[in-house]
Amino acid sequence: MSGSNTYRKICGISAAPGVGIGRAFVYKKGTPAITRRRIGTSQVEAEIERFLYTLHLAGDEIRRIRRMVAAEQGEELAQIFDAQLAMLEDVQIKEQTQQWIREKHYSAEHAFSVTLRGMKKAFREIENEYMRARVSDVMDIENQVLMRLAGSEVQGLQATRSNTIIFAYELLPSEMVQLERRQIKGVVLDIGGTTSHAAIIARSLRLPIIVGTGNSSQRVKTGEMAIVDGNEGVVHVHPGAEMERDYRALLRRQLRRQRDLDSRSDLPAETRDGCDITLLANIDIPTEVQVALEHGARGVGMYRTEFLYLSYRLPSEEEQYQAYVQIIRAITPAPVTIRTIDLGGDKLSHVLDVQQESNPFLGWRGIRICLDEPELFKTQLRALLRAGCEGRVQILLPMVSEIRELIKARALIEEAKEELRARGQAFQEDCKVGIMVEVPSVAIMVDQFAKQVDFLSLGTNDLTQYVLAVDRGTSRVANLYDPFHPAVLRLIKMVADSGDRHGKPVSICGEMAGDPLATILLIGLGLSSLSLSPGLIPEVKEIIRATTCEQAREVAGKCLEMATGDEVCRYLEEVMGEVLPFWRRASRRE
Amino acid sequence: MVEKNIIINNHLGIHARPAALIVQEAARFKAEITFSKEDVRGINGKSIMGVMMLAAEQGAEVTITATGEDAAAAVERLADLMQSDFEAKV
Repeated sequence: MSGSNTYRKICGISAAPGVGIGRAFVYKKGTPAITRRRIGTSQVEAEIERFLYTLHLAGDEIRRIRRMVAAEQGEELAQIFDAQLAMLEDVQIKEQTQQWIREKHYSAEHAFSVTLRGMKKAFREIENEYMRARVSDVMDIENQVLMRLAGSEVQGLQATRSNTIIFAYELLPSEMVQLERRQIKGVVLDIGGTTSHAAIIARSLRLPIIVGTGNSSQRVKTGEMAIVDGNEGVVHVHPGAEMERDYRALLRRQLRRQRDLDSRSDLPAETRDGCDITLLANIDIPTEVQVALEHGARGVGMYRTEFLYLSYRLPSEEEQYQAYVQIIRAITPAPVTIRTIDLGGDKLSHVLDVQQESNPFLGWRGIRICLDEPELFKTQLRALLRAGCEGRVQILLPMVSEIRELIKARALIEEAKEELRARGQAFQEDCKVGIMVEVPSVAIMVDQFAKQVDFLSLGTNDLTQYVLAVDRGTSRVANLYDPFHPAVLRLIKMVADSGDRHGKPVSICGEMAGDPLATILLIGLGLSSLSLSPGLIPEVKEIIRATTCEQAREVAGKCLEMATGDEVCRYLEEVMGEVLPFWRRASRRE
Repeated sequence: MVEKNIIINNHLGIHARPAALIVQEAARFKAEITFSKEDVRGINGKSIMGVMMLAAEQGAEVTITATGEDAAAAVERLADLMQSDFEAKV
């Protein structure tokens, strides 16, 4: 390990542009070690006292998190912590742990873990799948308490100070949303690709993020000075005064440019020859709607509902309804397209019977899970349909690969409506249904699908992965992942043309929609609706306003005839140089 | 001793949150409260672990038993709560 106070440069892949300057905070998730020591008779009362005091501290922490979640995400979500709190204060756990300490002279941590081991075993034997999954709650509180008993501080992400750069092995989406936007200046991860969920969220929070740095979280210590350069894909640790001054100047220029773009957010997204392009927002959490509106989004093109499902239990129909309504009310009368859950089986292993897969991207995920678990699916559908009463909702089905799936999904939507009718609950009768075009079979057969849906949405992230046979999360091959590859472009063109022929709207909601380098190309391929991260809307709009439809078609025509993605990108950079002379692509392609 | 049989109506059964509510309510009473379901007997009504391990699904019959000065009121209140759909109560 390098000594402290020496300059170090860490290289990785930039997953979101921008510069962040601050002090490192190394975020570690650990399972505490349990010491199986025995205590002497005279220590028994003190040990019990220590145990009860620790419970008290852990309870305070859960109450604090509960308050925070209630304020930020609403009371519904916060209530999940009530169960944890009740478990922590459970009389059985308290009494049994004290009994082990008193009778067997176990240390507090040993006694507590033996008590919980019995409880976990009992939970695992319960026949009801849902209750069986509560083992994860027990483990959660076990960690909280053991960590404190062992004397190690629980290093939560909420405990960060201002001007912090987070270093971690990886961050789960549920951890990413805890990041305090005002205090965090950048994120550096050991693993991950540019289109991992962590990267996507960082971009929506406008945070520079570097991924695939190998073991940076072990090479940096909390408190060290660091600069994250999301434009170049590097991190400077202990940069020195001169470098820091240069970066601060760059940061000021960036802020000025951002303010400049923001000041024009009310202008229409219209080309110079009068083609109107609809810019919609991709969002992950309801509160992002505000950001979307501030940046001039004309609706929500894709609300990914996965976050609702990443907690340790399934969201109820009511909880989902509340989340959807929050978004719809904020943005009505603009439409909200809600994508039904698109998770791999691994993310739902706590509630579903999941088998290990060697190829999760080709496995049990998205609509495939939903069709096999109709109750899970219909709970979401009922919430969606009910929420539709508050505005305009469209249902977007992910991972469809063949017509039969679409037919089955439609039948389940009808069943969900029937159930609501039987309950006498109001819902949106004429809710439109569309599919993601992200599996090559659908892009190739798009004419067949276009007849049976109300709209199509191009998911270029997965489409690129499947067409080029590249797992974007594997850093060794991530450089082969290229949405500008002409094979992908030709499929986009096919889909856009088909939508046109059948009178069905086609939009694009992949990362590509937010890449300024792709804007002219996408318009030229025939897309008039782009759905992107809210923060990227101003820049994309500026490009739209600087080009013409005619030019875009010409550019796209040339790209379709090229042989490689690199050739396409070089050409597009040239075009951009002419359209916006001072333009420079923020994140560099490696 | 006061006793009452009830049927669980909530479609998810008594999962974590309803269990938390039940324990919270039970704690308000001085009486000793126990729940029984089929072969699971004498579950401590003031322990969330116990109530969750009862694993009462929709349609399950649960016997509420209470002994102590406010036993009747406790059984009454808990029977009301446990027969509700919980969603509306929170």
